[in-house]
Amino acid sequence: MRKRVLVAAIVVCCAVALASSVGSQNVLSQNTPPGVKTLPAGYTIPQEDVPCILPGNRLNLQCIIQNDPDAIRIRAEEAALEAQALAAAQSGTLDPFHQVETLGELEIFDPSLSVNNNLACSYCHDPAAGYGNGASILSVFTGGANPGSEPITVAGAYPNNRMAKRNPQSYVYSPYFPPLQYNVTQGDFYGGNFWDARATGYRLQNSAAEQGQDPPVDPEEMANPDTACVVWKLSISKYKFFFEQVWGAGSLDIAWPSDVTSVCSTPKGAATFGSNATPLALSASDRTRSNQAFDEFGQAIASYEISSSVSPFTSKFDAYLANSTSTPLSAQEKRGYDLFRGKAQCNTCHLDGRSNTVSGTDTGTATSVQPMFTDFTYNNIGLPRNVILPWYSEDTPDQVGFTGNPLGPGFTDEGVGLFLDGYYGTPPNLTWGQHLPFFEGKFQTSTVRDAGKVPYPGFVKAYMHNGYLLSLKEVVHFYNTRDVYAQPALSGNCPAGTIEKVTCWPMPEDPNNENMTIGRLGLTSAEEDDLVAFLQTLNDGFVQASSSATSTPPSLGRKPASPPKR
Amino acid sequence: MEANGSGRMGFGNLRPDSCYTKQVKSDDSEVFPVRKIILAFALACSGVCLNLMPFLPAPAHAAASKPTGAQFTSGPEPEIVNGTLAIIRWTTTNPGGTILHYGVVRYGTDPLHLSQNAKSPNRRNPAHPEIIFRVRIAGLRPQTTYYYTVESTGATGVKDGETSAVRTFKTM
Repeated sequence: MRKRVLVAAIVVCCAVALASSVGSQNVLSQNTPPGVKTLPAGYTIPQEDVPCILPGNRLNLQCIIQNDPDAIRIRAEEAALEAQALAAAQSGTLDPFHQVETLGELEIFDPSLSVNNNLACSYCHDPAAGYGNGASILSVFTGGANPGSEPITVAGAYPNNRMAKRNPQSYVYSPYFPPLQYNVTQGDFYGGNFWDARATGYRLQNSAAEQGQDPPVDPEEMANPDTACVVWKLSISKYKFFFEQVWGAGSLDIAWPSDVTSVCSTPKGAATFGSNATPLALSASDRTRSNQAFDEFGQAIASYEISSSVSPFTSKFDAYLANSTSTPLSAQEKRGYDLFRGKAQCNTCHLDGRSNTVSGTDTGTATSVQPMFTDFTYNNIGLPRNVILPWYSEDTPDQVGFTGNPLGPGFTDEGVGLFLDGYYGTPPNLTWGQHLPFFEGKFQTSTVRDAGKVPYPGFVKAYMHNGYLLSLKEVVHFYNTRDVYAQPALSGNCPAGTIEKVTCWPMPEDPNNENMTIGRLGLTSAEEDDLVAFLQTLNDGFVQASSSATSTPPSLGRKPASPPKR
Repeated sequence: MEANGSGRMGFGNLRPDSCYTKQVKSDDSEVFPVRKIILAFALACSGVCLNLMPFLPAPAHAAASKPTGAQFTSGPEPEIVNGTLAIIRWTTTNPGGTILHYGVVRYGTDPLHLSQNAKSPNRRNPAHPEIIFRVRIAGLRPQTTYYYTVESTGATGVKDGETSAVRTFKTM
């Protein structure tokens, strides 16, 4: 009996210690308003955001957009970067390579390409946050899901802005993902972009370019009602001259109808459009020209995304691969690396160009000096439903009659299953449908490059498609203990005596095809820390521009040495 | 079941908390795969739906090739058993073949009729001498003795090795 008591005491102590080390939600910050949920350790709600917190731990998103310090920082960053890119474009000194890249940069940082001229791609893909969500407050309260261009003005509506259904996926290294293919030998899908593979790249043979074409016409994001509206906005932009310099004179010469302004200022999904995806009335030849320009728009975005500004291979790990003598990993980073390709089995999917080892001793030579840290496949890691996503509440019509999620809380995010099942329309390859049962619940195996990149210390970053995990430590702890602390409960309903994300993992949102390679890795808390230390070596920016082969002509000096600090 | 409109079909007499399969044939004779229906009460249904997966057809290209000869090196044995859920775990020599593999557990309360199936994806590491298979079985009855066998396949349906002998576990 005494032994049992002792064991119980040890278990309690371990749980407390683990809770402390995972840094999870057991401490209220000092300025937490009454009724607000517990917050990640070390995080305090900015004073500017406190009035934006609604009862029930919801956000007044209009308030956040206007006042949140991160939102203000992001808009300042994008304005500065857009101005720099415009100056470069106007300089007339860029070679053809940098012209396309700079055009993509101009597009990505241009808020006028959204229906209400208020949302650039970069708002949801903050460079300082590794091109993912850049607002801590959204990580904590919306699973990282970002507000789109269109506010919701229906009285009492929550959310009071159209919201994306997922945590925005970082697009670092995304152009390295090949077009989506079903590999018959492996019985698996490889490539594509987006969490759910729907940017297949089949038409442009460039998944990133087709990914870049989606948010401008996603009703929850930039909400243009017609791809031609994006082209029209390009044709009246400050950099129209540059677009035509890159893609040819007359690229944007289109006879726009007289109602172009009113059509293109009406958000996608408005009842007035019905099911018409091309409400802008163009002649057949102008429609073809517009489609061509829209493809070129996407290709320029992909060019920027593959550039050294976004995907530079300048991490400490890259330097270590180049010369492990001059840039050795620290003892903890090396332990983490050995775990990454050994006991923790990360390298089974997040390929690092080395062989995996069981013992941690790999005497081989790197087979790739620019590994992608992904195998380009899809997996269901069994993430719980993130009940704080506003998407689950977007089940009533907004002021123009658009309902983002008619299923409301009944929606299940099946990932690739949604894509294969026709949620976004019929998939382009009709033979893919037969694989649906084996891909429900699966999401893209993202690169882990830049996963640890944050704008400033204390920033809370949301991970995975639904932003359920809020630190790299939580990510590693989930992979390590998902099945050890599994509970048949929804998030927010863990049994008494357990701590969610520490000693309780709620049931998966979609149990189909749950990957069982992970879930019980047997790592100690110290080993989890070692893995996190290794993951931090994958953040770009370790190799300074002065010693790297930058793709930006040095004379232009367009890039700040480091992201602006908050 | 009766069709009630072009492109839409209604279903009557469905039971709550149950999962169903459907197969749809379009006018051009294109047959879409069997697909589970999650009713409005999807959460209550999820455990049952999980167990539908093994009954779904393998991809059209699945080959009935001979086993790759993988040998059991440990297990199978229950890793976790509670009232309604079990995870069965075993290790085999590295079977080669596809990276994506499936562990398959056939189980039931009668050792002579293992009529239920559970199947979970496990990814094979080419450089490891062994592969650990773990299969989640949900929707079990509490306080019940189950009998099971295990086997594994590659993603294209090629069986890795022999099927294990019948073993048993009891839910709590």
